[in-house]
Amino acid sequence: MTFHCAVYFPKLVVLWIISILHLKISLPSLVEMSWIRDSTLSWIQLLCVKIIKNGRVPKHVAFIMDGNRRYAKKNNVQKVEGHSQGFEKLAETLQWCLDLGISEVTVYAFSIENFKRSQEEVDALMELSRQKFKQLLCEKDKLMEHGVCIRIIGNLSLLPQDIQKLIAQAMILTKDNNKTFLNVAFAYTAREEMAQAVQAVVSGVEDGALRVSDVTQKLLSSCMYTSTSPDPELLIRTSGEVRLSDYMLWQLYLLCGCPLARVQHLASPGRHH
Amino acid sequence: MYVCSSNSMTFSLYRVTWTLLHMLISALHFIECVWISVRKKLDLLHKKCTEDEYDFISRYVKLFDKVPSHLVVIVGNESISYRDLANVAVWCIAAGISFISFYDHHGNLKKNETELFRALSEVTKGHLDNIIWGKKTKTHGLIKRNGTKNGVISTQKLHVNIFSLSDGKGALVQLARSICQSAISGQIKSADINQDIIDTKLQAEMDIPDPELALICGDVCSTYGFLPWQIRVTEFLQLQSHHNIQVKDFLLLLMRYGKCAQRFGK
Repeated sequence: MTFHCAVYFPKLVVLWIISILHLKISLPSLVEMSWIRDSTLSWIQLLCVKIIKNGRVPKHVAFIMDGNRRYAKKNNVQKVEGHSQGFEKLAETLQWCLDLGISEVTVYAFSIENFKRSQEEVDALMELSRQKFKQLLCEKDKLMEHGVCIRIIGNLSLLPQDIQKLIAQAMILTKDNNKTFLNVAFAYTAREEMAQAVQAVVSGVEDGALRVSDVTQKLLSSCMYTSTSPDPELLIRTSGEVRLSDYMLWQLYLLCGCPLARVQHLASPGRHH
Repeated sequence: MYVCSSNSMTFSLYRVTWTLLHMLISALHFIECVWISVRKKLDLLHKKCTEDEYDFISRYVKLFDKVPSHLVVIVGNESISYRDLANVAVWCIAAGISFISFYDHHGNLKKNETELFRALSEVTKGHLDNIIWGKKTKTHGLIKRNGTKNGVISTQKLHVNIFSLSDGKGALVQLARSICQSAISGQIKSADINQDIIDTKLQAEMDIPDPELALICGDVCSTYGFLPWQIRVTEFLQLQSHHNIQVKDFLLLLMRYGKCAQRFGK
């Protein structure tokens, strides 16, 4: 017991100091349920952000927003409420990233494996995403103002037609923005992504557009859904779990992982690189 | 001019604060590392040779909810200690783990496989019958697989494999190329390619189940490019260092793995 305390003590000190400054869990207000919101940081937190920005900040951070159902169970609310509050925390996290100068964020919103959940929950999740994508389109002025480019990655053909349409609209609308990039992994698994990349490459060879010798790592990377993004430098999983769960397995290649989502951990790449 | 200089002063003040914080965190990290190595040395001094490690481990793991069938040790940026890796392999046999893979992204472990072979021979005192050298080792095929010794079939086998960086993305590229060749000769159509086909082909090549637990050595939590296809649901646990790893460290990690709950998306 004492051995473990001694090991974690210095880490704890750092965590305690910054936890005091940590953003409080804010209850979502109906007005604030938007994708892009104004900065909610207090002056101490802004000070921390200004300090952290002097170090090396990752250009691309990947998130697994996990634990919605466990949160709902713990707080005795419906699962869909857990997912909704999960979205709120996601939007807040995006704001922190913008404040810290992280220009690209990829979020794991819905896995192909999640289709195996009960029809009721899948329908509720689809309805929630329908609302959120519609809201995204309503906020187009804000998106254009902040220069946000939205990309949805995954096997979109698995989604209901109307959601596909909303997604297409959002992507087309923001395709020329280049200040900040928000990638949402929806109906996504890394294996499906790698498989479709191999399929694309084989199809190219079949059609005579490629030779077998053209098939390289670089070519496969360019066939991934994430081909237009640099590889993520940091992965944050909010629940504390320490697995990748079929998320960006090809891209998360020599990166740093963090099992907690807190502002100070975003500064940790400065430590290791 | 005044405004500019006050801005640059504020800028350098933040920079100074950042540098000081960075130094503080580095100092704390250094103290932590020193403390851990001191503790380890003290542990080694006080190590009592009590009961047989093998029996101790086999009894202890029965208390865990689950034990991985495939364990990976990712050496990371540490220098390789063959003796300690051999110890881990032997403990895996005791724990009932059937597959162990060692991953060194630099490729040194693959080059020096004979060192690992030697270390394993020493640790097992020459009784290497329980060890099967997998397809990803040079020793595979050099040793006749003999499941019996003195007429008794030894039940617990350990498959050992060694991976390096080229076995990850490189293997997928090779697979893509071979599928392309098959497509050219008309054996397969691109429309038929899906996850299952790729999985089957990779399985045939590697002959290993997906890793369930990976131990990352060092303080950087990174996969170092390990087998991207196979690590879909692998639990990654941090191991400070594999140098002088003790049985209790090994068991603690297995205990942590035994406690984790996997939902597989459902």
